[in-house]
Amino acid sequence: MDRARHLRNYDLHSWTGLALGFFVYVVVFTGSVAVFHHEILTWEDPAKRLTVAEEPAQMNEIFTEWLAARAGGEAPEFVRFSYPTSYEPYFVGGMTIKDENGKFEYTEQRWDSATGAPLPTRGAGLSEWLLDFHRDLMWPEGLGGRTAGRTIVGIIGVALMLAIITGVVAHTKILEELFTLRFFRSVRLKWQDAHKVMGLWGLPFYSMIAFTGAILGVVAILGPLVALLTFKGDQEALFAAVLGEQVEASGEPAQMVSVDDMASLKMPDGDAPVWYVVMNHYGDANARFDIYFEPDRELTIVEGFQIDGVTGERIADSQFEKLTAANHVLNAVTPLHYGTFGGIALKFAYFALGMSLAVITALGLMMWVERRLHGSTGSRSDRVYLIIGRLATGGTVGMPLATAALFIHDKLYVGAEEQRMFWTGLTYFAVWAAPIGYAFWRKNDYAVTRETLALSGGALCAAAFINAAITDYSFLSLLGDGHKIAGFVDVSLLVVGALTLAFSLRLPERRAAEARKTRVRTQAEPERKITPVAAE
Amino acid sequence: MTPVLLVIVCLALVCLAAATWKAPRLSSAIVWALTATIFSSAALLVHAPGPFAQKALWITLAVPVIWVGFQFWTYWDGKPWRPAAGLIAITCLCGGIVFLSEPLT
Repeated sequence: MDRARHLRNYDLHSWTGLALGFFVYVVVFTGSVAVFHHEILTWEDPAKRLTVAEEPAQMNEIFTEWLAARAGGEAPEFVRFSYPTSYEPYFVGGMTIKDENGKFEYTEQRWDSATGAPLPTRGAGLSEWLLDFHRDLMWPEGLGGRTAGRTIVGIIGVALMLAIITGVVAHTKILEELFTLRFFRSVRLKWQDAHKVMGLWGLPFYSMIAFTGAILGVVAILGPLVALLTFKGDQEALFAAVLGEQVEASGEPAQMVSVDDMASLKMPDGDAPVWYVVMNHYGDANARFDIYFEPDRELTIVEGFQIDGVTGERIADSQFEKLTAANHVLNAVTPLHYGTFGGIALKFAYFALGMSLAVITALGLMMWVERRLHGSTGSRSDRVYLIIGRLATGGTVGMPLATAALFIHDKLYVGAEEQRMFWTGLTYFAVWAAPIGYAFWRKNDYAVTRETLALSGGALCAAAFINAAITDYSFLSLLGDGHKIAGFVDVSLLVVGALTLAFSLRLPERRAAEARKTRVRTQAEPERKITPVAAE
Repeated sequence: MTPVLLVIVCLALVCLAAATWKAPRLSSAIVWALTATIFSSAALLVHAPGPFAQKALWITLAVPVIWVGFQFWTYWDGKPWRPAAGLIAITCLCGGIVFLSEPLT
């Protein structure tokens, strides 16, 4: 490759990383935590720390009465019934109806798996925030809503793909760089080596996560755009062309198949119990029920088939029976992206690799600033690079602290359940912003990183103890006789918190070269006060 | 199209033309790679052989790759105008194919 091309490629890598690197960091960091969405869901809600009853309650009467009472004579647009699982050890019923303004309103109820007694509902908070912030940045309705947020995340996935490709092309000595880690050289070399080594070793995972993330995000904007172009704006015609014509409601009321009878359905080639049922045209003679089974560690979101909602007979020509190679590939995208196909060990691997990608991105940002502040690159004043450096430092180390703070907030929150999500978001942004302000006040990015990470580690450990105190469960008893998943989260919080704390204490308090200068100056003038490095 | 919208579209096109003239690589990576991806995907969807549902799924999978491929090309090519001209040509050609085709039903 000629030098001009190499430089252009390097520029593209550098500017993609700088322009979107921080967003990549945000999405990657939140994604690494969101891998444990189901486990955190159980940890945050003590009502979920139940065991699935061996003899489940008969639910059909309870469910149909609840539906009738909630629908108030209206035909529901969407009905769903979930059976107890280890993550959600109770029955869940959900339905969507149109209110008087034509807006869709979703309502949900959960019941004890042994007795069928209604369980109290809890407002969405910690786990939902972590997952949705990763998926759509909780993008506000006034600015395009979740679809806009998802599209932005998809574009970030595309940017990450571009950064990966240009990064690989920039490496002319890949084999050599795979094993080069100069720990005892300058700060910049250390960061550069770590950036390259981690980037090259994790390359297959990072490529997969960028590609699947881009697909999951880009689909949100691609569907309407393609419909606009090829179907002249008719999105429903597009869905019909892709998904096939759906059966229309007949308008004739009919008795539905019992949810208790559906509980015994099985996939012909599997043994997994029914997970949930989506009921189309509930209460109508043309009702169709989609039966979903949790795949047994296979690379697909769900497995299932469709039955007639009145007779219970399997529909032979439904979309479930016409799966092609393209369907299988697309169905594999979500489990591949979220690591849901291989158990808890795989989730830990995803977490570690995801965090390493976050570190690579942060290192890239730090190197960019370092080269301009202490190297020969860059045409702007030091002040500009200092501001970028402070924003990048505060923003990157603020995110672990904000995440740790959410765990504590979840246990200490005492307000109304409907307001839980609002206060969760407020806490998240307030705590995230604090280290940015601190970085400008402290004027020493090394100290800010060290202190904020130490605080994050302490907060993670504290969250486990607060959970034990507030919910009357010690994590030790949880690991013995109590609920395994919640106990596992507690222990993970303690381990990750302790590791973060230990790691932060090994970080330098100031830039090594500057520390040397200060030492020399102090020896020459012992009475002079030592100034923080970045303030000089 | 209302006159206000027409003015906005014209202004946007003038700005885009100016940006392309000033920085052909950057504008191509940010704007033209995206438009070329969208229109080429739509044209493929309309005219490529095979069942529509299958084409739609495969193209969904291909879109991020096509997009990144175009972006990469803008900085790979030695001449800054070649990728810009190429992407504009793809956008216009595929746009013409899509708009002149009968709408799918």
